[in-house]
Amino acid sequence: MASEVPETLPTPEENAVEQEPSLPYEDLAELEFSQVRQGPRISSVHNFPEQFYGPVSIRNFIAGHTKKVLRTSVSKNALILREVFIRLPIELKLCVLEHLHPLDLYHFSQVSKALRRIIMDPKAAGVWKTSFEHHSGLPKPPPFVARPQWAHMLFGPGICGECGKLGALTDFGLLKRHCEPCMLTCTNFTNGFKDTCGRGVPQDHAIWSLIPRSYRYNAMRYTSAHQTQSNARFVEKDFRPMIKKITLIHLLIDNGVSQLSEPFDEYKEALSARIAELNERAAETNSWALEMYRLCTNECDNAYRDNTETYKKRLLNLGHEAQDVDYVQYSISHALRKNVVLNLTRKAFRKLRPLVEQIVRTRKENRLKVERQQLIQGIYKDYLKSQNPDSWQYLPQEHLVRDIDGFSDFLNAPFDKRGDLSPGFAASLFPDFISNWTRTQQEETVGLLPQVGGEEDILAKLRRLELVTSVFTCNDCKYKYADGRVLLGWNNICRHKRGLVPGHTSPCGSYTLDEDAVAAATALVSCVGLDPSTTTIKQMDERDDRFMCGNCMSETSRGVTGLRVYTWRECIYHVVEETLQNDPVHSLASWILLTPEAARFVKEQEHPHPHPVQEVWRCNLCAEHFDTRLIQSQAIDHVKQVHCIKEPVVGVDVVVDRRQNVRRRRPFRLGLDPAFEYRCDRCPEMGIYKLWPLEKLMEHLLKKHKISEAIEGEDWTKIKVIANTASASPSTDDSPEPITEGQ
Amino acid sequence: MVLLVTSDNEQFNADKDVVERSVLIKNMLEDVGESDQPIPLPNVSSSVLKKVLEYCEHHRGEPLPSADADQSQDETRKRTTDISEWDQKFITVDQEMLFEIILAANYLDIKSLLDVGCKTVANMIKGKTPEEIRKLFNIVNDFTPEEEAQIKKENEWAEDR
Repeated sequence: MASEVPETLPTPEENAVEQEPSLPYEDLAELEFSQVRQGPRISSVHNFPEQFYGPVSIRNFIAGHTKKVLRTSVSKNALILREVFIRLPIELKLCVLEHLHPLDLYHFSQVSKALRRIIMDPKAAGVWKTSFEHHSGLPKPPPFVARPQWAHMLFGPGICGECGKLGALTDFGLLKRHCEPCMLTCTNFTNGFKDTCGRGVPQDHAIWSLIPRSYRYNAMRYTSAHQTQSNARFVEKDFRPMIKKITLIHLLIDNGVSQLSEPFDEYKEALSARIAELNERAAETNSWALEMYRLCTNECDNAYRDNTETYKKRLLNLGHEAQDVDYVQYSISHALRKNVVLNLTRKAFRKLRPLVEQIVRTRKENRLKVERQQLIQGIYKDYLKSQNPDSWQYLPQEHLVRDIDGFSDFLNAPFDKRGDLSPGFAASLFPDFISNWTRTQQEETVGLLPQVGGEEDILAKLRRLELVTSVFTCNDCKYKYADGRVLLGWNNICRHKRGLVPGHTSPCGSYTLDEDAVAAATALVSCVGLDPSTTTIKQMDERDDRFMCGNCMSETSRGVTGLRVYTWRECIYHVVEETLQNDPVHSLASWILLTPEAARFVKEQEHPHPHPVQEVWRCNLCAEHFDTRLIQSQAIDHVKQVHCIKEPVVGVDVVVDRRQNVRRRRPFRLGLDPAFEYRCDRCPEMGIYKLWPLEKLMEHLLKKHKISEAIEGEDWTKIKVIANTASASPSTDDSPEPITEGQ
Repeated sequence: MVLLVTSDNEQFNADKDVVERSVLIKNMLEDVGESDQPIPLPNVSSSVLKKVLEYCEHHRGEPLPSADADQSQDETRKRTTDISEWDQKFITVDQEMLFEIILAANYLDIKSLLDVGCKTVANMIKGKTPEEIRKLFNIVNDFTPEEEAQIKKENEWAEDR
């Protein structure tokens, strides 16, 4: 039954391992003693570790969790039980202690000297043994570690054995506690050690199996590191004597003391087996500690979640609105975590209430602000819908209307409820707002034009803005989006200014006159024989000429070797994009103007743009598609059904919504090698105008018209492809005569 | 039936399979053989024996611990860390009676009853910090600061492994 009790009570350490020295109180260094006495402090590496690791890992979470599980409510009979315990003979006291958890025994050993003597007595070893056996979930100690010490390692305070600061969980591989800095100082990887001659120690050296190792990479957390020789840490204090010992014995053996060889091998074998066992136990204990950590964090998370919900309920009871409280729930949770409120008492609630209520009030204010803005924007949207659909692309965006002075009273009214706004009043403010915004934007834009001659009024400047030489570029988006690279004319600029580039939170605001683009445009106009100083964008658009870049090299695509053919706008894009890529070949723009015949051929080969199946179309007769875009056929169907137009005209009834980015077209490649410059004179005039390379034309004449020896002028004609060339070189004074489109 | 005589000379008649929960009585019966002689229990008073017999009566028929089944019995004890509801009610007695029951269980060698008594007392210490235990037992911390510091660094022994 109960174990026998010794007459005299030995010192506690006698219980640990046989031959262990007695408790050496006097051996404690003064510095260590003062550090321990002043109480544990957190390692300086982690000033706010709880913010990184949560509250469970700063101290020994294993002990905390175990204590929490074991804790029972204070018994009404505590005093009776206390008296019973005190009166029990020592053997029955030990019987009682057998039923405690090892953590309780560890605590019991720290109560007083007398109780410590009872529980640390070697005769009480059975108590520890039984206690550990009763709690089979606990990891087993390595065979050479006494259970009381094992309990201390599992449940003792996380104090670093080196510096005495808090923040050091037991390393079960090294059987030590190191804080982060001490771990880095005291341990090293295999490649960091040198042997007695100062050489590196190879990975397969016997020493690595003779000293304890650790795979921890953080002193405050148990980790599941990948376990390899190269990421194992060893203690300097273990390594140094062992390497000396091995070196010395090898020296002795080498110098004739061969009888040492066998006992040394036996020693190594025994030690290696002991270390292997230690490593095995360490791995098991680490896994157990990780599982405990997972349990603790889950429990902690659950507690915070429950507390957050409780806090929310209390806020609702205080009259806060559910939508605001729900919105700030993460802030509430954060506040609870920051203040480590695991148990939401009334006191804890009151302590956090000012902070949390401020968060909720701020959220409500922001919500009401947004709701009011949305109300204004909604009215503005209705106003826009009532305008001509073509004008939508030039009218300021919805988010700008909240800055109208007339709305400030409404927007800044007390934030208790959203309030309401008369649509009539709001709509009355919009015309002025739109004209002011437009005027401001125009003034900003024309201000970028270079000064010419004397004073100019804004109308004169706006006229200059419509010249082909007024080519702007948007500095905010030209590198990301093609739309901002070339801006021609007020409409184009205005559309870009009111739009929002994807990924941007505000419209682009930085524009410059692009010198390269201006030079390219000037060369283009010169190429068609017009005066760059007077030619307008509209004129060039109406001409609808086709050009090739004189700087590009012929490339082969789909069996055709030649150059891409561009509109004049695409030419400017081409130059700007090549300049952005710093292509030296395109530093001076050079253009090849196609003859009307060649241009006609090219245009007939080009795909319609924008493509009918691209979702950029809308009805131009109503506001049905204010928020949505359709493919062309859907828009046509809408016009037919809703507006009863039998044959809607694309470009009139069904148009492209220019508020959206329209994918650029792929230019047609005109064959130059062999050159597509021959026309079949035998083919009747048809809808499609076709040019051939000579060889293909001969085949065509033979096959289609049965002409084997075709004659130029009768059967075929060589047409002129190039009408003119021009370059952006400054020496282009010899501009040719204007060429009309029909020429 | 077995006749038991308490320290205050009171006699109790009890079924053999009830009293045999006590290893002490069981051994005595085996030693004496079939006999009408009363079994003296000089360390147990009548009030305590009454309680003990009540316990044995309630647990009649449950498997008894045997010498060769120590291990499996221990396993059962490990699993049953909590006290059953009936046992809890049974052990809710005054200080003197609890003390006497534990002593009697130890004397009569009734392991399960001793466990109930010890667990009841142990529960008072469970989950308490050293300071709480001191408060409970009204004990003063007599460790010197040096000793206390050393206890906190107890695993220094690992240096000598």
